[in-house]
Amino acid sequence: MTIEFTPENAAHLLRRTGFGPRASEVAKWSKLGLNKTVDELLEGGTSGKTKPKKKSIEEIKAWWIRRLVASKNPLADKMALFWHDHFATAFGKVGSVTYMYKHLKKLRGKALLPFNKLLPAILKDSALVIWLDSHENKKGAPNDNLARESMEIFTTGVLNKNGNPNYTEKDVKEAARALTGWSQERGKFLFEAGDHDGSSKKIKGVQGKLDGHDFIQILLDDPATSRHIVWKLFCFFAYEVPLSDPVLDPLVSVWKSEDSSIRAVLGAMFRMDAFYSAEAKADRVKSPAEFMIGALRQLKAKVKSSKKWSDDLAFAMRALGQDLLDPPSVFGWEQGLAWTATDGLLQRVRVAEQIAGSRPEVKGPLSWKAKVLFGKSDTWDEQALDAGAVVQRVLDTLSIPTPSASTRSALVDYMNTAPNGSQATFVLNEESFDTKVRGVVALALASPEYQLS
Amino acid sequence: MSDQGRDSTEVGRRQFLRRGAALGGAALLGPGVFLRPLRAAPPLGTKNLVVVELFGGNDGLNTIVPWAHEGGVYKSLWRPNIGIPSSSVLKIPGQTVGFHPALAPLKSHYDAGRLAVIQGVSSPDASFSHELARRIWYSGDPTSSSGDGWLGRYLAKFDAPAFPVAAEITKEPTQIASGAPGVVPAMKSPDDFVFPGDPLHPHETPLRRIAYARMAAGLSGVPGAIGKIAGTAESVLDLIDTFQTVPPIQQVAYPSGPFAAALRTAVRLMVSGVGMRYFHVALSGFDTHGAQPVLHANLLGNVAASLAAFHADLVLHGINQDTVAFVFSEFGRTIEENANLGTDHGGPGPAFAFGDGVNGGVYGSHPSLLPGALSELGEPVFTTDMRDVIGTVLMRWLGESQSSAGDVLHGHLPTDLGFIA
Repeated sequence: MTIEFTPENAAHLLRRTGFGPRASEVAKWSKLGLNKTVDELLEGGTSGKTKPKKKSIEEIKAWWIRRLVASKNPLADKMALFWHDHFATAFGKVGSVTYMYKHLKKLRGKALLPFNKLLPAILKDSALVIWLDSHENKKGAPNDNLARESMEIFTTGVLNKNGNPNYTEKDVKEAARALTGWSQERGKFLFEAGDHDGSSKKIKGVQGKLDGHDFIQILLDDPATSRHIVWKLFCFFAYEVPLSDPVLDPLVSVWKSEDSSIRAVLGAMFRMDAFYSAEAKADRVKSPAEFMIGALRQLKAKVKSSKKWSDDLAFAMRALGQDLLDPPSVFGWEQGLAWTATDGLLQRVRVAEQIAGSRPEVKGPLSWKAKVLFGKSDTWDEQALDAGAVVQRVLDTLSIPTPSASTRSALVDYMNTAPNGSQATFVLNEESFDTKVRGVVALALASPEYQLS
Repeated sequence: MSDQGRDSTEVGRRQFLRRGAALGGAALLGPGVFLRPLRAAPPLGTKNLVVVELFGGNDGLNTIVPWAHEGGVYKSLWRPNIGIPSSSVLKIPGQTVGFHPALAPLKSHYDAGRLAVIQGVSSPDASFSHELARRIWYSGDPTSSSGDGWLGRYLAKFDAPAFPVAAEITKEPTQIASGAPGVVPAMKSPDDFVFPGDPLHPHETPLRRIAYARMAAGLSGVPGAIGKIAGTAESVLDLIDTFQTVPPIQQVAYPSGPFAAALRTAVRLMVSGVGMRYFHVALSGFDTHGAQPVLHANLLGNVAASLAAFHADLVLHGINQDTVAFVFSEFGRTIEENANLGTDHGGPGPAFAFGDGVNGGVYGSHPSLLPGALSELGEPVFTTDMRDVIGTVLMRWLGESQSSAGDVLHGHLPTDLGFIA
């Protein structure tokens, strides 16, 4: 069954594979058709040749945010964000801005590589080595942090699809011995042979003088790994399913036949009927990154790059509950409705107001102009847009496809009401733009509809 | 979240998100429109409970130090470097255990009978994974297969309250209150609850609030995520309305940091009379795989000083008889130190109950530390079941019958350990 690449389906694909598509982007891609779109999305790398000033972690965070806003093809960056959550490594413990930047560079550069290339690269990353105490894992005095999390989180997961454990505590301890000597020096991977326990070990039934590379291979060969990663990808891009769900089976097959190719798995996923089902479109909550960066993209906001504003951008993400490069633990962030629990949702209303109210004439980290919504102000009179038309323009700009009647009428009535509560038919001019339109943008960004992807 | 050092006087500059509080909000339209009377406390009894989580796996052996247990093998055999020297331990008369010196602020409370130490706590087949172990403790289910929380299941025995009776003052919402009817907000402070508005057009704010309320009302109850988000939006407005009626109160000085701030907020909410009684707070950082001596001492010092301030604050407001803090960690740490002056994920550890309603003392028996007595994985064997600890809180503090508590604990009928009066 072929999928009709309607504007609705195109917008859905672009929302999931990016950060807030603009109407013009949806139009362009839907003309291209599903196959070409998926191919191009998978081809695109991460954007930008600029480098951040590496003086503070906030500057790196803000730099990444700006890269995401500016990107024309953000799938690779969305995958980098996925991997950042998956291999969750936090600056708070790592402590080195340079190492975290290198870690981020690796995630962005390798985001669409096959998993059998990505995994060893990340497990040798200095930030991760420090984060999971690998440099302290030595012969005779093992530290099992990296071994444990490699299995529990990064590859097989705790339980397989039948609910049985993928490994035992003994496996963890043996794997820790295999990883002894796995260290770093000045930001580069370093194998300390003197610290390595070279004796025989048994990990998940494999016996031998196993070292870190052997351990990685055991994990890559384990079918539980393909299942676990495919499952996480599906839940991230499509919708939540249990690990055993048969919808994952064809994607697991692709992983096997294409030698852990992430591009092949995603390519297959974005061509599945299930990806365009009502269930897939319904219930996914935007992460703070999608929320904030999407808003900035759709409003074509200018994001300032000076250090002075980096702290503010980083702070906003932290308040929203997704402090980039500083996840709460090695388990990453809790996704879904956890993003919009009480405090998270309140902060979204606050950030919505801050973004909507960002004016060029007021000092701040960002600004956007009326032009984005309505074109040049000398055309406004002839456009004769009433409240309903303005609200529609805002909803289209923010890619809210099916606003509820109650949301629409709440927004229209807001525009047609004066502060003293009386009726005041909205007329678009510079002043009402500043008072009312910025207000309706804030409300639209805060609407329940906008929180869904 | 600090904004120290920011120049807030720069003309024309809006601090992005730093001072996001709206100007005006509900007050601009006068009382009576959004302000509702203070909620009466729900009929759940008068007891307050603060669940304090030490996240990361608190090293119990260095917290309640078995310095004299089994001839002192704790240090001589297992922890020659990071073991607390017996001369530093704050000794407890009649016990082979004592306190880590950083717990000094709690020693006088122990002496006054306000601190119960329950030894050797864990559960059958306990997990060494942070995620699964937390789930076990949150749910009171050793198989960690349950998706709800013991606090949630307890609250589910009552009608949904008109206003939240429980709150999580943690970075992220957790499972502990899952299953509770109504909303259990994850929040930082009642001061956050002001409807955000544009400082350049403050008179627009009440209108924006009306629109927001209409959007929420229009989608509340709709199936799926959108209905849940709309429901949370309504609850946010409810919290905004109610918290605006809560005046600031005088509180004692607390240590700095988000943990003490969370305890302070819990007291403020209890005193405010809005009906909130049950809180979950957490302190992270206990996963001391390396450099443990200083890190752990700082953490324990923070816990002790914060709880001491918490108690003083309860006394100041006359609710010390009505409030108990229950302290746990998802697991203890390895009996043996590692080569980096740290410990890895391990087995049983102590839990605590703190407050005037507590029967102070040391409970349970300390697990054996002799090499022959350890488990297959080389760790001490637990002597107290975590479900009996939670069960005792449910029965003695929250007034549950044994069978009702057993219901909360997935069919495990808890033994009353007696550490609460």
